[in-house]
This record gives sequence, C-alpha cells and structure tokens, in this order.
Amino acid sequence: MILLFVLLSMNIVKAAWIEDGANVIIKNLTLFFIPATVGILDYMDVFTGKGSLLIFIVLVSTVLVMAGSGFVSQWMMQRREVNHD
Amino acid sequence: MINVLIGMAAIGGTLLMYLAAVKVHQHVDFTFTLPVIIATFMIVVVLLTFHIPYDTYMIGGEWINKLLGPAVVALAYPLYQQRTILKELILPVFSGTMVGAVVGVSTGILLAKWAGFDDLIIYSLSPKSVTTPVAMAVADSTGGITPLAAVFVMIAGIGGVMVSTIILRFFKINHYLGRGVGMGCASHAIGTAAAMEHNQLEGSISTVAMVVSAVVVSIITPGLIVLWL
Repeated sequence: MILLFVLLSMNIVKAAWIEDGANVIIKNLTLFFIPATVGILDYMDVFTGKGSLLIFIVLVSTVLVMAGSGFVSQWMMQRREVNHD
Repeated sequence: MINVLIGMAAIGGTLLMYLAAVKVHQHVDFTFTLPVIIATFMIVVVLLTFHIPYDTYMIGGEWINKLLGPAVVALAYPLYQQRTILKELILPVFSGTMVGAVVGVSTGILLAKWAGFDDLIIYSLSPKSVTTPVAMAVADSTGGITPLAAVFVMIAGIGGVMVSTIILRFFKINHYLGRGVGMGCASHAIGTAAAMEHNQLEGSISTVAMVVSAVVVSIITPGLIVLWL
C-alpha cells in the first residue's frame, strides 16, 4: 500500500488510471474478509460457556479503543483550532 | 478435479451471499446489517447445516482470502487523494492512534486476566485491534494461537463497526478526525471500509490510523504482556 502511495505521489502511476478500480475494490472491501470471518467456525467451542465472556471482553476493549483514540485526536484537533484563532 | 469444483462452488457461493447481503443492506441500513455480517452469518449457517467443514470451504475461500492483501493496497488511492490534508493532521492522528494502541492491548490483557483466562488465550487476544496479518504475526511471536487471534480480530472489527454509531455519538466524537482515528484503531480495515463509506477523508484518516496502529501494536505488545501478566 505504501508502495502504491509513493508511486502515486511520484506520478509514476497516475491517479486517474486506478481511480475506478480502486473505488470498486474499496466499496466492496468487506467481501474479501468473508473467508476469514467464517473462520470463527473452527473455534466455536472456545466461545461456549465461559468463553462467551471473551467476546464481551473484546467488545469492551474495542469500545474503549474507539472512544479513547477518537476522543484524544478530536481534543487535539479542537485545541489546535482554538489556538489558531 | 473435485477440488476445483468445490473451490469454485465456495467462491461462487461466497460472492452470491455477499451480493445478496449488499441488496439486503440497501433496504435495511443499520451498522449491524453490514453485508459482511449478513454474508458471514449465512455462510456459517449453510456450512453448519450441511456439515461442511471449514477446511472444505476454504479450498475456494482461500483464493478470496489471498486477494485481501492486494485489495488493501487499493486504500493507497484515497490516501493519495487526501495527502495534503493528512499531512496537516499528522499530530492529532498519531497521538490518538498511540493512545488507542496502548488502550487496546492493555485492556485486552487486563480484562482477560481478571476473568481468569489462560495465558495462551491472552496472547492471542492482545493484538486484536490491528489488521489480521499483523495480529497473527504478533500472536505467533508471543506464543499465542494464530487462527484464534484472527477470530478476535474479526470480533473487534465487526463488533466495533456495529457499535460505532452509538459509541461515537455517546462520546460526542463527531469530528471526522476523531471518527476516522477511532474506526481505524479499533476496527482496522473493516472500520476503514465503514468509514470510507461515510466520507473519503474519514476513511483515509482511518487507513493511516490502522497502519500506524499495526506498527505500534507489534512493537508494544510483548512489553505490555510482560508488564501486565
């Protein structure tokens, strides 16, 4: 990905060339995750009984990450906007 | 020969399920009816009903899986489109991402430890906020179970996106920067795909957060495991 970014920046690869293709791929990016997500099938038993708590743990942790990182970056953004005035 | 047929059936089936799921999502637009969720659920139901083992499905499935890497490369395009703005926003994005990475790994380890799970599970759980290949590599290096790590990543990714609207609204994170960083840090590429649907700038920020997260997590996880365990 970084390579493509560099190539685009250096204009070796022109953005217009990949525009349509890239947009289609990104729009349907989640398709490519399906075989991996179906993989949960092999680990169903990990999540039975006490294991179902793991799902909850991951969700709580994920929420904290989202809130924490989002909040900190937004706060820094707002501080910066205040300072600029 | 039979493998080729199975493979094609798996690929074709997945594609059909996905397209059907997209149609459903068009009519029923909630974060928990994302095409990936519906399609995965349907495929799991089909596999379970017909007693088809995951490995058989993967004969075809692995080809779609292999395309995930190249597909992620396509994210370079929106990144390029947004490069000037991204350059300006580097500091807030980085700070938010660092916080996200530390919080993600630490809370994962601590919560699992307090709930009494074994170390192996904890090792597999810790890198869950970053993109699958990196998470699996980190789990591998700490002695965790790589496929299980991939499952946790999926839960973080899909679960994260599902609750994202509520969580972001609750914490009043409505600036595109906060949203992008939050999605990228918590739900990696799935979060990015969702953010991208919302707004290209948000999606590009998410991409940056995702990549930086992956790097940071791979560095800090072993240390945090030692610290908290």
